[in-house]
Amino acid sequence: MDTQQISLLNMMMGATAKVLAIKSPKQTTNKLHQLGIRVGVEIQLLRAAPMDGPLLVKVSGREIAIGYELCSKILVGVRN
Amino acid sequence: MKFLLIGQPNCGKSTLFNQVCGYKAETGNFTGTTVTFTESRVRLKGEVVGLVDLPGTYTLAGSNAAEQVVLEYLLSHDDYNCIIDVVDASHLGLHLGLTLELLELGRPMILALNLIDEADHMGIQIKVGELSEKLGIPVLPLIASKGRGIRDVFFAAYKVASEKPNVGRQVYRQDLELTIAALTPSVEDLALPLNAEAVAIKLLEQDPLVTSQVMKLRPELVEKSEESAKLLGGGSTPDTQSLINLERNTAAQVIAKQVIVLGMRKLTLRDKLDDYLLHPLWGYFFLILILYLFFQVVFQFGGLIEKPLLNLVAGLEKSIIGFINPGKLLGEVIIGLVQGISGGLAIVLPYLIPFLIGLGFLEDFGYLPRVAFLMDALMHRIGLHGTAVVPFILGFGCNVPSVMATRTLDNKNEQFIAAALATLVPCSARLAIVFGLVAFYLGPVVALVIYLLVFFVIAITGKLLSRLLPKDMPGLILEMPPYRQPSFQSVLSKAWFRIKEFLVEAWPVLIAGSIVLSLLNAYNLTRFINFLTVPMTWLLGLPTQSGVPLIFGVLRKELSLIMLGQALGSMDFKNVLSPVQMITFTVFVIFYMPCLATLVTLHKELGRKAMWNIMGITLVIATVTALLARGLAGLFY
Repeated sequence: MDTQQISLLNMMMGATAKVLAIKSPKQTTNKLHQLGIRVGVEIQLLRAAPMDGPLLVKVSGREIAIGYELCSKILVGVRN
Repeated sequence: MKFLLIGQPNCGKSTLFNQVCGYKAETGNFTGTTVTFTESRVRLKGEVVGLVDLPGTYTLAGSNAAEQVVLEYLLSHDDYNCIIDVVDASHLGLHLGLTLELLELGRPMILALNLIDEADHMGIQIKVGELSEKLGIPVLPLIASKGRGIRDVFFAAYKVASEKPNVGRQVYRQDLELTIAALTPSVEDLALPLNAEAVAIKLLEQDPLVTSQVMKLRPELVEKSEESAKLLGGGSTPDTQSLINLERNTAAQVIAKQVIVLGMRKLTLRDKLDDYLLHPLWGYFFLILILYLFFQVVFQFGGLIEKPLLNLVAGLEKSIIGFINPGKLLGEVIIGLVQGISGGLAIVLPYLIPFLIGLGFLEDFGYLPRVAFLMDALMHRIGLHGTAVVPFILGFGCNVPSVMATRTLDNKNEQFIAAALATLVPCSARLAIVFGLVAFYLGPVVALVIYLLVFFVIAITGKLLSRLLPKDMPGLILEMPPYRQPSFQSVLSKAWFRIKEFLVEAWPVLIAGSIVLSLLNAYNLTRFINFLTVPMTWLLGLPTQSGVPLIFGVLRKELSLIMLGQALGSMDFKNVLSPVQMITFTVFVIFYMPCLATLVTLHKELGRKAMWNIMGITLVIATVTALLARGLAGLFY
């Protein structure tokens, strides 16, 4: 079963995917790690703010808003 | 007649099959390799229709046993009249990939959109008509578990099976299309139950099952397809299967995105509340409503206690002076002292306390992160994050808590920009000037124009500052806490903690400044100050006497209007100021120099250097915009 790598921005609303890579600067990545967003975890896309606003994702029961730019640096795997 | 049920695992296909088997006449199990498919017969419009339930599969490739059963079935059977593709509507993007692959078969087909109730719970609404148009096949909503829509699905399948409409697949990437088109004619005459295009695609995918079948019939075609695959993949061992699957899934996601309307999830109270408060449209409506109510409550409360408070202080002032009967010097010092104390009280009691309590409530309730979420995109335009929105909102009440709130920003430069911009937000004291001078004498429209000018200036300043202060903006990362019922105790202790800072840091400075002002008044040094400020007042076209009100307006901005009246000798400003002067004065007072209490807070939160920088920046902004306002107002008056 292959997976297809897309950024958080291209995820379907309400869909769940596995985080494959985080390509943000180290400091930012650390902050994401603290909130439980790390490679391998399941992430669910809950909401998006309009006008290229942040996305609201759910990771292990915790809801986190992530800025639009940063979302493009978080890659997730979608099952093919 | 015979229908095939095909779908991905967990799409509810088996549920559908079992529901239908309520009408069953006969079931038979056919053993495949390891996985079985089930065949049943249903009676439909007086006809007995065969129904084959194939195992759930993600693709029509032979990579696991279940998938092989499906492909093998399709390669060995030609007698089916319609494919019923069952998809999970709550995961449409994932499931449509298989649908697109099935469309390649060119067989009569319908789409059963199962689990629409679950999709609905997740807030996913699917535009069925549009989806049907995009796929070129009928799409039927279905809730198999509740038996809803089953009849319609089978009637639609029956109709399609009888009418045999043309079914076409999606158009893929150009190079892929060219390769398929080149290979298709040569597989046209193979006696396989799949249509030529589907065989060509499977050959390009180097699917083991199809390849082995073609190998038996026309081995040279396998070689040819291998060459095409190499060209397509651009490598020696191209993974054309992933490449083509990627193509299908991308197309599937695109279609899904186009036909899905996101609505409200129906889950917990939190979700329900968030559905309103974070809604792309209503979220902003509620934001404005909540802030409006917040300010209403604060100002109503503040107005209620400010007047009696000031009367009390004035009475106290008189009785103190009458009681100790001091000499001139001491008398002035006492007046300054009392005015400084009352000035502090007039800021703290009526506005700061209700403000901080209200803020504490919004904070503990969990609303502030939601505001940041909604405003992040807008704040980005002025070089800040959504988190910086809180200082802004607070700024309309008082700049002191607003500068305190910049503490939450972890980037130094961002904090500086947020603080600098927050001091430009017209606080309630400056609101008093705008209303007392401009709105009262020139009309509310002019006041509105001034407010618009303020927002414009803040946006421009934000843009400029974020250019000047390069900072890598890591982007918003903010946990959205669940809503909680705020506790009085935590709200009060937080408010007290913040007020204490103001009392300790800003109040003494305010009192000292007030004493200096009264001494200047007593010894007639105002003339000297007015002389020093002549360059500024001349530049702005203001009366020379407005120097002192401007300088000492820094103590408390709403006082500058009263001081201006005293200096000009009349509180009826239309007799002593021209409309242009009123506008220029107001614009200048809004922007120039944060008030003393704010300056002290700036010093504490951001350091001396930042404080001086912000003072300089605001002076420049005030001068430029006041000149601009003077010029513009000159055109109208």
